[in-house]
Amino acid sequence: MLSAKNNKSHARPVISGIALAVALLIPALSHAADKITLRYAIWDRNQLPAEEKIAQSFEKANPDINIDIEVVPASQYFVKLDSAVAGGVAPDIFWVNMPYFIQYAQNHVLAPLNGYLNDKSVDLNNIVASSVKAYQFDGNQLAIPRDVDAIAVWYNKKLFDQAGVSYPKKGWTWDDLKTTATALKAKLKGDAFPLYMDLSNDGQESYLNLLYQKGVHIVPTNGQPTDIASDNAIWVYQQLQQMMKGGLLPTANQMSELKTDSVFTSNRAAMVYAGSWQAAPFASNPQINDHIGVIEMPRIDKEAGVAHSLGFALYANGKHKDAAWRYVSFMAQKSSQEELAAAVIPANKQAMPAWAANIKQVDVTAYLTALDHATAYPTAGTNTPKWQNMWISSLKKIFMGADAKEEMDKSVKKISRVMEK
Amino acid sequence: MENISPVTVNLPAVKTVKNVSSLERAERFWGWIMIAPLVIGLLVFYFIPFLQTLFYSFTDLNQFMNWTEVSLDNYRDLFSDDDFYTAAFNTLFYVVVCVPVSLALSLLLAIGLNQPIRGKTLFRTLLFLPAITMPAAVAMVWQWLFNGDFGLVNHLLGFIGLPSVDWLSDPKVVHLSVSIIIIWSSLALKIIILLAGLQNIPRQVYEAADIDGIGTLRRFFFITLPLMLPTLFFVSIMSFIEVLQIFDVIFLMFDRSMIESDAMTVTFLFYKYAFYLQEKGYASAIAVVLFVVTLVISLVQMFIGKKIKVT
Repeated sequence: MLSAKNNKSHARPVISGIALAVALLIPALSHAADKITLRYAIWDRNQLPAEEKIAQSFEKANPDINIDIEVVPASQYFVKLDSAVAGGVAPDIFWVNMPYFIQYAQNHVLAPLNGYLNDKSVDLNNIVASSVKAYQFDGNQLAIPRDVDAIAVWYNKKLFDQAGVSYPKKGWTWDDLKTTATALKAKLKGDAFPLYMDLSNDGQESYLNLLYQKGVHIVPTNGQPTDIASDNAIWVYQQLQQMMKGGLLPTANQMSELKTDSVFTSNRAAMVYAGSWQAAPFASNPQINDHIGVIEMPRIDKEAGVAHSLGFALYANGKHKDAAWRYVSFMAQKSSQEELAAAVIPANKQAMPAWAANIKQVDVTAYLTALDHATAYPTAGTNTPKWQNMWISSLKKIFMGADAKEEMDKSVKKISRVMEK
Repeated sequence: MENISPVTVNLPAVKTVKNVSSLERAERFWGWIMIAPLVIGLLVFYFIPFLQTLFYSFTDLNQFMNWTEVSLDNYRDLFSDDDFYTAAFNTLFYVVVCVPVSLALSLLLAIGLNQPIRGKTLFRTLLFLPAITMPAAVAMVWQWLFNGDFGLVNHLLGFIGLPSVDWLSDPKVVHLSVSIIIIWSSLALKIIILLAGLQNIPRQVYEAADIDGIGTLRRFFFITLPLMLPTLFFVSIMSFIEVLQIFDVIFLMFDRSMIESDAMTVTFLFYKYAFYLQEKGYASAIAVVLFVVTLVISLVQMFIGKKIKVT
């Protein structure tokens, strides 16, 4: 080649150029081939910093794996995930919640984890038991609980002082709440509400807790039908109805324009029922954090409440399930869960104290106590969003003034039919 | 040109027409090429999805696109679903209220803008602004205007001594507030089209009327209105279709529980089943029913429109 004819000599730089490029590319290609990229979908931007920290320390320990976090707004999350699954391009790891879990489990979208759990990299005994159970289907663990939440009551000391009413005390009852709210109502100036609880949504921050405290079984179990139209349940709806009529709670109309965080942070509610995910934002808000406190919910017949839990799930048709499991088990470890505690209560019981310790301005241990007697978020049948939706529209009519007994008697048959499907 | 003729022979339109010159054939070929992007777009984004929807309306398609055939069950359920009747009633209410009002208003405004008045360009610009504003922005602005506590509308009502109204949360006025927004945001395009129609009326007709000494009111009813009928029909068909599919304003302005109980429309019902309750088969049936209703209304209007044009 070197002694080739003169007219070919100009080809040499080209050939050597190609050779060089190939030489450079081969290691790059082979490098790319053994480096796995895992896609991980979440829906809460507030939690992204903690998630990124966990991903970084995982990548450091596992140089062959690259984590790609995708944040989708909560309101579009399941719409988008549904289509991604239908098109076979779902992320390797994603968050699931309890209402949608059954649909995903039934359609074999989630990879069974029992095989992986044998390697003891995740000890389910360290995780809140009701949440672990909620993510089981047909004897298989299909998701690992990520965080837990509970409900408690926040109060605004400034408004209490203004009205000259004493703060709620530990061990208070539903009657105490009503007396306090009535006293506040008489003395509160301006447009502040004595009490606020979000009744326009799925009831996690409001009536679901009251129903559990009154011993109502929401989900049909062991052949027992749902109790949501029983006398105890009707009593709860009527209580709320009366409180709206008496001005202790905003009316159903007002409520559709109010949100828990804006009402409480603008000093417009003396007491609010709020989830633990609100704790960090409330406690770090300089508008209110010097004059607020948290206490467990007042008890009706017994102490009880709702706890919900998000889970990590693996996509059943994912290409790198083993690697994905390595990441999930890493995220379930105590150290990762403690990172997560900056935003939410971690599901790993060992990491839980880190959450309350993180929130220095206000003592939020009431949430951890509430978790001790909390029941899992109610799900039934294959389409929880559907029966919930029907129930909420009946309740809306009740809160607008319809007779609770009549309305529930009318709708309970339809609702339980969907629950049993 | 020889080398492209074999291709054109394969096109259906050319096949059926015989004895066309090669020039004409070439023109046809390029005609097809020119409209191809639009035709392909229509096929891919409108026609094929429409057939899919029609097919899925006979299945119980779920969110992961698994389905089994259920034949007419979706339609049977739909016609015994109270929600569907509420939604249909609300939608028809908006149609009955908004279409005539917005037609009349936009005709009046178009006539006004057609007069030699001061600041005509400014008024035309202002009235056209809603048409180029994003629906999301429109909904946000109205949400503020209509806010029960500190909205501008209630503030103005207070000025003239009227009580404030919960525009966004009182079930009794929800239909009214939705109608106001629909009418407001749909005026712009109609005015433009009607203005073009008005300017097409020959000046001589009005001059003749002037010579005969005909009053303004009679001039409107005997000259402007009859000559504007074809344009008005076109605008009314558009308006019907637009209101029948009303979704964005309602979705963005109201609380979910409010929409589901009092402000529900057929398109929102479709959204609810398709993307929230995960029953895409049932949602497809809703979409098909809405399509049929829209089609029938449009056909009836077109039929009447043709009748009137002939006489």
